[in-house]
Amino acid sequence: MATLAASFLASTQLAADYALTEQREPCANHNPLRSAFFGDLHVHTSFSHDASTQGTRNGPRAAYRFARGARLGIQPYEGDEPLRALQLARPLDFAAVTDHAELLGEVHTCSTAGLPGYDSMICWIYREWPRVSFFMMNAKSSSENPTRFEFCGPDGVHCTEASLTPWREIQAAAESAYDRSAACRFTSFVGYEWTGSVDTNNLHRNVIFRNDRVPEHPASFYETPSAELLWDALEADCLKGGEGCDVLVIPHNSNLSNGLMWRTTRPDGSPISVAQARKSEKLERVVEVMQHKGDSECRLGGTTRDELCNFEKLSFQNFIGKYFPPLAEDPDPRSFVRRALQDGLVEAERLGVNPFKFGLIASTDTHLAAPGAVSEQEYPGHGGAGASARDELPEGLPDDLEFNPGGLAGIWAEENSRDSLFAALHRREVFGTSGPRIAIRFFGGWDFPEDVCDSGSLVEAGYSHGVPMGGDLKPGPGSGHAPVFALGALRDPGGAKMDLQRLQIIKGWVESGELREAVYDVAGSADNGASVDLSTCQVAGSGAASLCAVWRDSDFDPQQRAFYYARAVENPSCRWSTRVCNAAGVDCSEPESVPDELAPCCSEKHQREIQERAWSSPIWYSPEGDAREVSP
Amino acid sequence: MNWARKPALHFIVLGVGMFAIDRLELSPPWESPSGGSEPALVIRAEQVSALRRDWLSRTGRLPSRAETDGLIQNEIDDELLVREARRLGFERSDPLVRRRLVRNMGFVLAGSDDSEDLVREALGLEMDRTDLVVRRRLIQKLQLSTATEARLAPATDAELLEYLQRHALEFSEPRRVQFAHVYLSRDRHGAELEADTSELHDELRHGSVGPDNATEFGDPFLHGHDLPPQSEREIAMKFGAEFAREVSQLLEGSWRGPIASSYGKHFVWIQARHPRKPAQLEVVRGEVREALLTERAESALAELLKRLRRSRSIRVERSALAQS
Repeated sequence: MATLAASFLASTQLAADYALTEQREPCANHNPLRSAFFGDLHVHTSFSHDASTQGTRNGPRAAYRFARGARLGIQPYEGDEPLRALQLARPLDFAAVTDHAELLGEVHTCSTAGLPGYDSMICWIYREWPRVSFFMMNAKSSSENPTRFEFCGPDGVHCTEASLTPWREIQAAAESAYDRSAACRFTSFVGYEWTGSVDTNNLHRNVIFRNDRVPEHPASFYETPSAELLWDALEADCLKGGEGCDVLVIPHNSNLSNGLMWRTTRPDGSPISVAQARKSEKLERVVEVMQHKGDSECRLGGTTRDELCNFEKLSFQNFIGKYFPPLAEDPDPRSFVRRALQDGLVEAERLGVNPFKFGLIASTDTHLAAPGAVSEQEYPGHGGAGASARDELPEGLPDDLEFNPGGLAGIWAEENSRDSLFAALHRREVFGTSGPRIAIRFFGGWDFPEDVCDSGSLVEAGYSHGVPMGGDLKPGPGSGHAPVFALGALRDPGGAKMDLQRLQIIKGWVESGELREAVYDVAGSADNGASVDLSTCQVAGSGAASLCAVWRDSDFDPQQRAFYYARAVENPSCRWSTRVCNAAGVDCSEPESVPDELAPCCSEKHQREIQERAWSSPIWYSPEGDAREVSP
Repeated sequence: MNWARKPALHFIVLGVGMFAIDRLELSPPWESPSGGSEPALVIRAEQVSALRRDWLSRTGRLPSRAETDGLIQNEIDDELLVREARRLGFERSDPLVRRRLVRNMGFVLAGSDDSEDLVREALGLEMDRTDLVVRRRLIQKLQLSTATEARLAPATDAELLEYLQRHALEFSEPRRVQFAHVYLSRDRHGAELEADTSELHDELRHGSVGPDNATEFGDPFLHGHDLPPQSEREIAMKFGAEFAREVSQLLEGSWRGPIASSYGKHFVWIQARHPRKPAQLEVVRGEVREALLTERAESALAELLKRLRRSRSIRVERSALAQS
């Protein structure tokens, strides 16, 4: 044991040697075996058009103060008095404000008297008819070749110019929230959202910068109207353009992309090229698997029989489906992360490089400037696309039934500093949760000691005998050997204090050209007897405070590419909507007693029970071993 | 094929509409600051009655004497801010105020569409003093411009240092404890947890077990058994808040406990304690600057009100005071 730990420490001193790109004190709490940090990498404030038109008045500084534990007043307002307030029971470790880059300049112009364009009709509508403005501005930016409004001047120059003020304020807010002392209480990242949505098909991506060296101007969908153009701009303006600039891109809400988030063909039908796949693999390191606007992990149907996929699913393919119900279609199977991971294996076979090689995180997508407000007990609403609380609280549910409080991003890092967290995002040693602070570890290798769950050496053995989540299995020892995975999870020690029900491994692979998947329960049990009373939300029975397993893939075929990820699932509990419906005394057995505004409580789409969860990032296997980082 | 199923058509309709209004310009703002001296401020009895009635309708009961006083003080503040905003000419320069005035006058003088006339008429009727929406906007605008101006002044090193010294605790490096622990899993021991805990307690107390041997006893713990120096908050993140509180109060040098966590029972050996350390300005400059500017904005607003209260006589009508 002692030798194992010693050899491990020697090896990690090298492995943990992430580059230091900024001036700061090293953290007092520095753990070479890495600690779990929880945060939110998807946060909108009043700088985002869709947030401000819903009455959000808090800007980036307020968002960071909230993330660090301060109380935040939110809409509706009476005069200057907010009528609601939120506060995190546990502050976050990190956050990134990611306002929409597209309308930064428009919002600033329309709300700053004296700027050219302020007196345009469009700006007047923005100020007087925010809900109309919400649809108009979104529709305007939802074309294949988006153009700016006339009031932005020739080539949109006024709005581009105007966007610099909020963009600098976003940077200043991040700087002033970042704790550069050894206390390392909080880390902020400068970021923004690139909001491509051709015909409302969601291609949205968050852009997260490693440190305070960021491009002069955030490349938006206007300047870079495709993901590839965005990658090129980030390559030119950041990776090659700025000294010490580093960046990664986080796609999200693929569930609303109508199957277009991760295309394997170009618009003309030709397959994507090696060059494109390399760019994608270089920048798109992490994907947001769940947030306010639903879960994007997987969807029941086709070859997917994993019942836990039936979780926070939207029932439409994109926003046209939401706002024009007759046009709603079932979401496309390609809209889900598990499918993209499978498609990535196929592409890797064809191109030698996997374009869809994602670590998994979750976040909120709050449009109330309230990062990490994920409690099912007090969901204040999304504040963007859903129900509006601008002028008054919606009667009945605080938001559209299908939205939810969102999740958190988990990062395994040595310390809570930008360099350490960013390096972990880059190597994909990250996980997502649907809200609770479940800690999940996942290692893959060929020869873990079978007793690591009993010996207490899971993490040490994980690093010394294998690779952590997000990595590639090292080349195998030869035929007859199958990979082994060592994994463990701890329930959230605070919050709702729910026990875990089970720990699973999900495997995806390609067999004779067919996409395949399998789900294995490796610890705990679905039949542990725990349940929730949906009329009172009382839970009964118990599960596990922690779970651990060592699992060998006995169906392993060394010729087949594969990925494996872990999922830890809590016992059943009440969804936010059930709590609201119960508090309002809704009785669905007497439909005539249910007021209209609470009718969604009794809708057949209403999923009353949820199982909160954590997803690890995958570990990949390829017959040629770790040959993915082909340099161009 | 149903026309309604063509998303392209929806966009064309939206697009044509947008193209049309995208080209419209509203009339530019029209500025002309007002002048004149302000009379003394009098809070009349009927104003106080209205405030009390409003309170009654919101809360279902009449305000107490102290609450009535609070309402009166708020009313004085609002009135002072509105007067100051008008002194600065905001009622003429602010486009939102102008629009509101024009809309109000539109009802009074149907037929007239000259907005300058309408604004002048409205101001003549003192609508900028009486209309609630206008009043709110004027107050908000004055508060915003005061705060913004206060934040603009540069913060010198001396000021930053002074702020840091006043808030030393908040910025200081927190106390940390470094500890090893022996863990008994709630899941593994179930009903035997209490008995097994006291058995282990004896073993640890009588044996020569030090913190280096922690992993040889008890059950494995995913976050490890020998942890780096951590603050109470960081311990709480891993073990739960009650456990963190207890551990941060333990004495060094032997096994203490058992202490309950979210996961079971623990015996804890404090290996080192690191005292609270004051923060260095060069390290926390960004955070301190933000806090100082926020403080400045808040005190600028308070100063403004103080100045306004000093600058004129304020009288509350005797009969109004009798109501409280």
